[in-house]
Amino acid sequence: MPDGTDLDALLKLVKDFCSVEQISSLLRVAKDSGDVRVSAPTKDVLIQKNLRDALTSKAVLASTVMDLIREAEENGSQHVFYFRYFQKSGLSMSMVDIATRLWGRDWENKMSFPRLVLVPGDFIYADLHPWNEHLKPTDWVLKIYGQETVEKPTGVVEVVDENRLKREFVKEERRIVVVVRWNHPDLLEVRVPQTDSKKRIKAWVERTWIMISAALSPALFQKWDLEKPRHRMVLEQAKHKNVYKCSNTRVLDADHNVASFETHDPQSNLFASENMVYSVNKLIGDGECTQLRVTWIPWKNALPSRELNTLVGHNESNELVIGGHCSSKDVDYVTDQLRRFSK
Amino acid sequence: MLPTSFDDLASSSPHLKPVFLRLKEWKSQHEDWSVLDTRVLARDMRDIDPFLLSLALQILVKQGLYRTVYMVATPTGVLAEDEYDEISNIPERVPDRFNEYFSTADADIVTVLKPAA
Repeated sequence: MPDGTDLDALLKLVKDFCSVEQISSLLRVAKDSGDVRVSAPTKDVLIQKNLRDALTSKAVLASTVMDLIREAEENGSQHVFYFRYFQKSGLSMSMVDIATRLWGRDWENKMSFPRLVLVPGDFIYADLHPWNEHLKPTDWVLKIYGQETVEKPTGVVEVVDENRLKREFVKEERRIVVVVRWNHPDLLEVRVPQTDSKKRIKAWVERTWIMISAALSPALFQKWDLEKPRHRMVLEQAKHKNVYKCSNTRVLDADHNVASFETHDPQSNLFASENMVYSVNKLIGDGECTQLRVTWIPWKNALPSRELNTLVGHNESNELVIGGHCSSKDVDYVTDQLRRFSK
Repeated sequence: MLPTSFDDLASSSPHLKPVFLRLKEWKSQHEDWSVLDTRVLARDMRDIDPFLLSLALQILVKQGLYRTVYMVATPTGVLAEDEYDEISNIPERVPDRFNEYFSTADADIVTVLKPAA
């Protein structure tokens, strides 16, 4: 059970990352085994009263809430950068060995994960946990929290005199959740949150490499160029129309001319038009596909769990942008599909 | 919206029958489109009186078959992903289809019709 400070931090994370439905489901399960209230007039009451009471009475375990937070904050609305591991290096990628290289032998006591409280203006190691011990026992996730303070305009403007105005700003703390995911056998994923600033994305990725360098040198990895899967997915889209559809793409032809193709409606299929199929295929022949917007369609085993919009390739060729929150299984589904199309 | 709805509307508003039948035809040719973009319809139906087209679209909304939402046109002229119930809800910057952010202050705001849930 977390102490008072940690409990407040835990509940703040629930508020920031979990939906009312997710919290209610958690309480509903606990209701069968104890005195737990589910219904609440607002999300705040649901968290600050119902969930707090359930945690205090141990009807809901802090570890169960932590699992919910992990699922919510570690997956989706992210830029995922893929790096391939040079397996010949022979370095162990097990979670314990990584942790020992980062923090020493007594790392479990020393780090006491999960850490929930932020350090102002800094980045901290927040968590290290296996991904799914039953399905992929060698996979793990390292989570880093950053804290940034931003100044946000309130819209309040005060007229001081004829020539002077005062605009009001409030300081807002933002939690930056960076995820490093080892995806056995050969992929390292660095996931950073979506933002409109390319500079911040680059800075977060660089900061991550610095923080993990004691265990994972960048020299052991190379960017996984997603051109091959993009190229194949364009050429084979008709064959896999139940798996995905594409709504826009950018193609670099053999003479380095760039052509962008976009559907007018964001939901429609670029390759529904034969003219588009012909044009894109013609240009991509000796050239390459630098960006491809792919909507993954739910089918086998209910994966992905909903239509999932992704941009394969963005500022970097190894970059995937996932719009909207989703489950860990959804992100892994996309990664597995990209692996499949890269063969 | 079912194609028969256009037929029903054509029967109940004989003066707009040619417009509803054209809308039905357009919809069947653009099955995967999620919205009716009024600019696109005006361009694709140049032979239809714009006043009558506007009237027919208003009827679609009044009948509760569609609702009006707003979308932002990207610098290349296609629709950005998100839709808004009010113009005032549109953020200052939104991503285009290649995730490049642009200022909505200079962008075209497009009125579109979305099938009612």
